[in-house]
Amino acid sequence: MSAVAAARVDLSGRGARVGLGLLGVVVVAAAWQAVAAATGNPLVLPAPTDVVTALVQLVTDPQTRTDLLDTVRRVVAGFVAGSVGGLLLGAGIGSFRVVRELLNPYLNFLRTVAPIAWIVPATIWLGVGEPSILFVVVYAAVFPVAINTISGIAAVDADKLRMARAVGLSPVGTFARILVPSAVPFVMVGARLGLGLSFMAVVGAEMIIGQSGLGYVIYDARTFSNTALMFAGILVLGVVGYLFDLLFVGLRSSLFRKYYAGREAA
Amino acid sequence: MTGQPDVQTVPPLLEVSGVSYSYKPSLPPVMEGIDLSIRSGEFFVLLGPSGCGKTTILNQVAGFEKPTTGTISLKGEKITGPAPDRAVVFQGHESLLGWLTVRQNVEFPLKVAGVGTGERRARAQKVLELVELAPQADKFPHELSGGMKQRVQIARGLVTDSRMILMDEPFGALDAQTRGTLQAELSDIWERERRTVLFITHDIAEAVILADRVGVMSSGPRAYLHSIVPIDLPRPRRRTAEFNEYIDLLEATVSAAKARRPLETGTVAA
Repeated sequence: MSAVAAARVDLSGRGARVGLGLLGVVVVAAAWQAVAAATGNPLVLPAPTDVVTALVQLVTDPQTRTDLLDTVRRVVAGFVAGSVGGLLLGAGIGSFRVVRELLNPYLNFLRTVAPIAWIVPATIWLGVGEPSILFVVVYAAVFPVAINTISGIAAVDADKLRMARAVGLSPVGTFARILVPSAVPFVMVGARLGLGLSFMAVVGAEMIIGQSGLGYVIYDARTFSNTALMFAGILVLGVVGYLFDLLFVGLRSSLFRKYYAGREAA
Repeated sequence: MTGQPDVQTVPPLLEVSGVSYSYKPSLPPVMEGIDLSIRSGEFFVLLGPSGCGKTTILNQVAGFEKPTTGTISLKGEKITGPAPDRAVVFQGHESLLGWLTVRQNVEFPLKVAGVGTGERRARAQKVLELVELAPQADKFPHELSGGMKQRVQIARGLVTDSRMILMDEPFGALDAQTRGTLQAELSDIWERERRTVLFITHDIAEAVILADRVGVMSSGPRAYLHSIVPIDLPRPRRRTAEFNEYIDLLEATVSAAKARRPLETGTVAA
């Protein structure tokens, strides 16, 4: 009994959490290796060892580094543009009743359409190239930011708005000094979602019309039936996406801490 | 009190006349026929049970809401909306801006009014010292206790030269001990600053501690201003026999107001 109790106490520690995480990775990798060996066909399921080999090739190849940078550049550019657009759109819709009534149906329709569905019309308008890929990434980021900004503005406490009126703050001043700062935690939730969706959108766009990028690498690996390379590409995507999320959370808690009034950011 | 100018000769700062309010035309009014004058420099407490419309009256004086009938004027001018000549202290602390420090919150009305940095600093510092928050000036609101947050609001209300400060049960959400401290402090600050205050409460003792005059409301719907009781006690007000007589008087008045009948004379010594 006491040993069990002691083990329970240990499991709540940070070291134990990391240890359990690693154990999970090792167990899954071992199971994967066993299943891959049993399948015996690397085209269907490459063994983790093959994937690691492909991964090493991928990350040491200067061409792939260019691909990685292209993908990251597209995500960052599309995400930043989409977030700013989403913030302005959401703030406009959230603050002005007329704009809200006018644009809400469009917002609710467009946000349910998968960003990648726009890749073909985008190529008609913008050509087969960077602008079309960026269009899809921007599209992915705009809506989560816009919708969360609208919620953030709707959640502003009525007393803050009354105080603003009582001290004689203008509508523009109220927007800039009350509504937007109050909505920051909501905007950040949307932006974090938007960042994840940007990574998803960029891969689809690169697969369909890209001449470079990790999506292109994964899609191109089919030409040589190199399943291990596909897996390696997916692995890199996952890791890069994860690192960008960590970076986002880190920047958020250092740059926007004061907007959280001491609460933990979600 | 002696030495005060005659009520008849000084025009009131705030004049509420014939005010009633209904949420919808189909509903009976929350309150009706409210006539009330507040003199410049007076601490006026509006006392009444919840649902009597006392907060609605404050919101109408602030300009957040409009009376269904009747008018409210400040210095003879009809109130049509909020303006910086009436500062508001809210019951909760949600009106404080969490992303600004205490000092920035207090400076906020001055910043909006376009007051220069130097003067803003000086005036904020003065009121922060008045409410004894100078050491906390660079903290954020969430780092303060509930009582301190209300002091920030009071400082923000005092920092401009607004004609009136409107307080809507500002101590209602505080524990009894903190409430007692803040009541004494507010009475002290008022004595020094002599700003015109409209203060809403349902707490009889609070009314006796703070008020020059107490307006007692009946309960709603169709609440009316039952009577106005002057509190003629020196400040700071301690729990003397005279203080307790005022408590008894107000309790009797509140009961009479609740029953919608006049206060029977002779029932209370005061």
